[in-house]
Amino acid sequence: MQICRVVGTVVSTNKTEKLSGMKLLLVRAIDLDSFKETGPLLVSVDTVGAGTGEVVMTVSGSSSRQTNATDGKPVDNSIVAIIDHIDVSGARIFDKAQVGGSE
Amino acid sequence: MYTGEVSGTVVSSVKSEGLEGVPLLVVRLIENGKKTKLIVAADATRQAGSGDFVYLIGSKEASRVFRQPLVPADAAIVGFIDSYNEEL
Repeated sequence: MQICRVVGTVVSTNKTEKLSGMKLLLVRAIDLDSFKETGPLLVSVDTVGAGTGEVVMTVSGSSSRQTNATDGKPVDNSIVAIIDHIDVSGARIFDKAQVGGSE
Repeated sequence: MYTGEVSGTVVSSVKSEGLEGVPLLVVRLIENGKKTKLIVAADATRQAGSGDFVYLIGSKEASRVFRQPLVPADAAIVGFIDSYNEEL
């Protein structure tokens, strides 16, 4: 799975019928070594109520359809967790509770 | 399958139902003996800890490892590596 920052929202009224009612967010992957946002903007289906600025975990490929909201839907990337904190090599590299945890 | 070294943990209280009780670990991928990037993987063995040398299953098969019907995981730790040798 991938840690990402939610950087925006996507609104689409004219879309395939199976995607109706889905909340679409814009995410960008975070490199866990530098904790910097890298890589392309991706559209991800939100299944846990994430908001802009939050650090989340996304799943890609057909595994992203393994949730109640996206089962059987044309989805290849979904947000499945809102991150509280991450420890790497004994150091806390992200803590939601701290200031700037999510701008 | 691919190999990696467990390097940390991810904690999330608001998450998809299928991920309840599934440990989420940070894994440093190892390709051809070289350490590459960090990813997050679900720990199907439920015993992996920092420093363990593990192998993982990717994509949809990662969600097949678990008993619950809907587990949104695209990387799952499925075993530990004690030693390996390259024949060629």
